[in-house]
Amino acid sequence: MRQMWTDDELDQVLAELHADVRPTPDGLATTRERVLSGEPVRRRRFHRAWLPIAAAAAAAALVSTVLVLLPHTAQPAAPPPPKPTPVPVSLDWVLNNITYSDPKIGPGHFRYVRDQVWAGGVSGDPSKPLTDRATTTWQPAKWTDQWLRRDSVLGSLTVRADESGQIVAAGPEQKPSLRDNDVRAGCADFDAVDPQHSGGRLPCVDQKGSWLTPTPDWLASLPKDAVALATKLKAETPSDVSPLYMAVQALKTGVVPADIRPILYRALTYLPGDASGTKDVANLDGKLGFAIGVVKQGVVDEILIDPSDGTYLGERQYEPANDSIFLISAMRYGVVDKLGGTP
Amino acid sequence: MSKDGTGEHGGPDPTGPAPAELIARLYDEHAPALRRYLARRIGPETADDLVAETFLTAMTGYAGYDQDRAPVRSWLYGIATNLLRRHLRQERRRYQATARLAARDVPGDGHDGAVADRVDADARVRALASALAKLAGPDLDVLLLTSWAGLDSNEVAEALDIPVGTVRSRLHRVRKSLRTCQGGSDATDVD
Repeated sequence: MRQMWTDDELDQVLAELHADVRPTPDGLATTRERVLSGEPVRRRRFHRAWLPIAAAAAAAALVSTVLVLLPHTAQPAAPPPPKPTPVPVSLDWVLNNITYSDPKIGPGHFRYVRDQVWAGGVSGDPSKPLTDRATTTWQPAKWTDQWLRRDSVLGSLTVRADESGQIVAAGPEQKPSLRDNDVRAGCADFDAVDPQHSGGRLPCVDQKGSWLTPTPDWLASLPKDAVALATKLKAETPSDVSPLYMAVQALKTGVVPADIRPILYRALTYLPGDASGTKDVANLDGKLGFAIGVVKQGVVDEILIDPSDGTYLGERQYEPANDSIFLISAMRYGVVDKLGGTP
Repeated sequence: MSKDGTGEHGGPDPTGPAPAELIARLYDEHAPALRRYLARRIGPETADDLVAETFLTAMTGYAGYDQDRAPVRSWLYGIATNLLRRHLRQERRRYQATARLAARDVPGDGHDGAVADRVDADARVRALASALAKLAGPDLDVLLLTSWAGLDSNEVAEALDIPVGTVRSRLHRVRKSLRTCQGGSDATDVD
């Protein structure tokens, strides 16, 4: 067992972590007034009413029409043209109308996989800033060759609901003073090259696959039956997160192959909660796809799927009863001819 | 009954002043520290909401508050911890984001030693954040109520309504795992 820190060193690092919390414009004084007036803690209401949970697909329609993707410039973006209205469909219809394929990555080329997420608004209140982050990976043609992963904080922006219920920027996006963080490793074994995690292990050596870090061997070992895969997913999910969250972690790596994705998508329909299907649902980029949604305790968790190739398009998480949007994301894929290149 | 309407332990006295006046007094005394604690765990924006919810819950639940069972500080942090548990996934994302972001740009003023020290310090903070992201909720509560809220073991026990022996053993186990870079909790562990 490798000793890393003394007790004093651990105390020092604990004291430093997140020590730079900042005051908010409202401040404690405004919160005090809220408390003493007995004002309930409620989220900003959109001008369109959310529908009951039983009509979650219709609520999804409101989400897809009110969210506006803002380009990463200093100027507020114009709202996009209206999108098609999401349509509730049966889960079987969703699962039976997806075509699955994977691109061929030739020698010297790389699969580009970018996951952009707006999140951080735990309260769902659109007046609170959301953080815009992206994780991009470049996958080589040969698994054991060098991969590149880049983590970026793109900005933060305060949003508001306008008269029609669209969420628009309340001001220019704030740019952070943070550099991108690049990590390179063979076999996508990024933890192995992090001195704080590796324990001296070399990339690709004794690498263990999991839902968080899927490897070819681990993917090949997955059950080929959706019910069995759902059972495995539930069994390997920590108690404090949802099985769908674990499935998303695997899907957003971009390495779950075309022969496993249909089984995994069907397995999601066996998770606890009410599952439903929807078509013409937009991700953060505005790209339309099919959604498999699971509603549990009032919170709708959706994964979005591109029906043309079965790739994972992103996720959405929201609570219609409180007009709360917790997260929306978008995946982008491509093939490039160098590490760090963009399609 | 004391002259100011509070009970023996500085908490609400059901036969004392109206709850709003008492809550205002408790707010002025405890909200700043509580808000800072919550902001470190869940972020500043949500912390404001959780502070409000904590004191509103205290206001509505004050008739059931037993000052002999827990001093008011422990009671308030217990309410806040229960509210915070609904946001565990977001808290974990916050630690994961800290763990994966590069250090802030450090001015290149030629003081290489100071720069190197800052880079090392940032690396340690990122490592800790990565480890915290893997901890089970109850372990995070015990660790951070102690480290960030400054509660002692008895106060943590009162806040979480668990035996003080459990608090001490859990804290010892979590700190040991963090010091040896094992970080993660087994969610099936039962103290």
